[in-house]
Amino acid sequence: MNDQSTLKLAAVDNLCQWADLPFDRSRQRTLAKLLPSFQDRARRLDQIDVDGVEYAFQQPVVTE
Amino acid sequence: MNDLDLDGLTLVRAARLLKRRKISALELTRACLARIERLQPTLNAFITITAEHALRQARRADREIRKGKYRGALHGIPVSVKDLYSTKGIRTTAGSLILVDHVPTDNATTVTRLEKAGTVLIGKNNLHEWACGVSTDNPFFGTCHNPWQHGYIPGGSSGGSAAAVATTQGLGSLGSDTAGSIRIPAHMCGIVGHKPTYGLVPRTGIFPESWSFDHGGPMAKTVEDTAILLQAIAGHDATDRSSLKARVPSFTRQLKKGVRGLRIGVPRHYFFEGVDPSVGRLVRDAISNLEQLGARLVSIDIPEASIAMDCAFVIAWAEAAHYHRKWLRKRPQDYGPDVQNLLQASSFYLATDYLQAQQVRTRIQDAFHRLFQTIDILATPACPLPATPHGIQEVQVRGRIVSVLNKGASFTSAANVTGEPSCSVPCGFTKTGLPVGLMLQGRAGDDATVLRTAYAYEQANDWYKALPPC
Repeated sequence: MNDQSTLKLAAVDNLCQWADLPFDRSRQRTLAKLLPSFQDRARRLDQIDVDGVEYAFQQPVVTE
Repeated sequence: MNDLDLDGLTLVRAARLLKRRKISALELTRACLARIERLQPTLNAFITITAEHALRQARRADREIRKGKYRGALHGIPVSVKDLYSTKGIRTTAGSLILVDHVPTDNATTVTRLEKAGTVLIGKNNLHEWACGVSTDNPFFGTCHNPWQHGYIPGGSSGGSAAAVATTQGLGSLGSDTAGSIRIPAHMCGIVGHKPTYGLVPRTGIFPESWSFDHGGPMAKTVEDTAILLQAIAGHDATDRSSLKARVPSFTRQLKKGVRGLRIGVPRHYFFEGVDPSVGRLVRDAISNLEQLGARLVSIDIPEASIAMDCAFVIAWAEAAHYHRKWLRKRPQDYGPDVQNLLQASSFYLATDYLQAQQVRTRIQDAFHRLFQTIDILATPACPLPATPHGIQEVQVRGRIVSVLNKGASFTSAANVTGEPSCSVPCGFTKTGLPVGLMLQGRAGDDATVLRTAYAYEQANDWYKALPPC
């Protein structure tokens, strides 16, 4: 999670190595710009209290 | 029947003519194929045109109808499907380079159901690559254009389906909707698009984007046409784990009940914020019209709607990145730039991000479930914007710069998160001549009331009779 508009390239490189994603420097530069806004969405969701909330995975919705 | 006679022809009217043998399926199919040949160079609504296959099916339909073996309202009707639907022996690309030579050995369940109903498959529609976007600017199969204004997006990802239906290159189509991909192009092309209740329409044989949110559904010129298509494809399928086991009601029989006494929720917040002024005005007029038709308007608040887009984004893109992970490693060059960016960036969502989003999803579902105990229908704009020019990633709305992709799906994605049925029905045109859709959402399993409300509005206004200039 990062408030900066661009991640450090070294951080993206580390992430790519960790995730075994063989992206070249050019792709990493693009991702460095994109990732903060993607992570912002997860961060906003993280603010919501979901204690005790269960979820159904790939099940039909309840219909009445 | 010449090309001109197709103007204004609906599926229902064509069905009447076929049943009475005033026209043949072969004549109708040839007319649609002639129109495709004329419009394909400018609109590019198709990836594959299945002319020979269609003519064979049309001849068969004519033989059966002549012998008195009329199968129903879809018998002999030319339709197309988004090229995300598997078609046995017919190339299915998902709009991607990776599947450019893929020929399935089986049909999607829904394609088989259409075949059993006697339809004629005239082609596979262009789409945003892998259904991952709203422009239908496909880097491998070309740009699909909006029939109301060349150079503008038709919406997406089912943009080819919407452009084809709006111009009668077929009388209906099947699209798919993960965050609005049926309703956004329906709104932008001036047709009807219905995202059914999650699980009502089987997804077996439809290439996935996000299994939590993917829905198959019908797109057509009118609500009745849409209901007829939905009737044919809905119902339990044991090969799809998410398939509903509930009985499928008759959607067409309930269409004409009207809206008297229905409680229509009108949101005070979110759904009318940051909306293009002409879109907001047309949708408010449409809601007033529903009141004049006898519905009761109820002001409501649903604050959870404002987090639905984030929830949909995290879940859908994480699932899409998971589905594509092997190709992203081995063949990243075989993706277009925008889809590659989305999928690669989504590869970095944490499992905890995904699980949090799934729990938030339950919170949102619960909130909408409570809301629908006080109202029958939620009425909003389908999309905050009308169609935008191709190549534009951001636009200014009420002084703010917004992403076309994110803004485009900001209202539709709530129904994907909740699984509730949601339909976009045309409600007029902006001053620049671009269509606008009224979105009607109902409680889970109550697709019939959504379609009935859309039908009442449509019949009182006739926007579906307007013809695109091309």
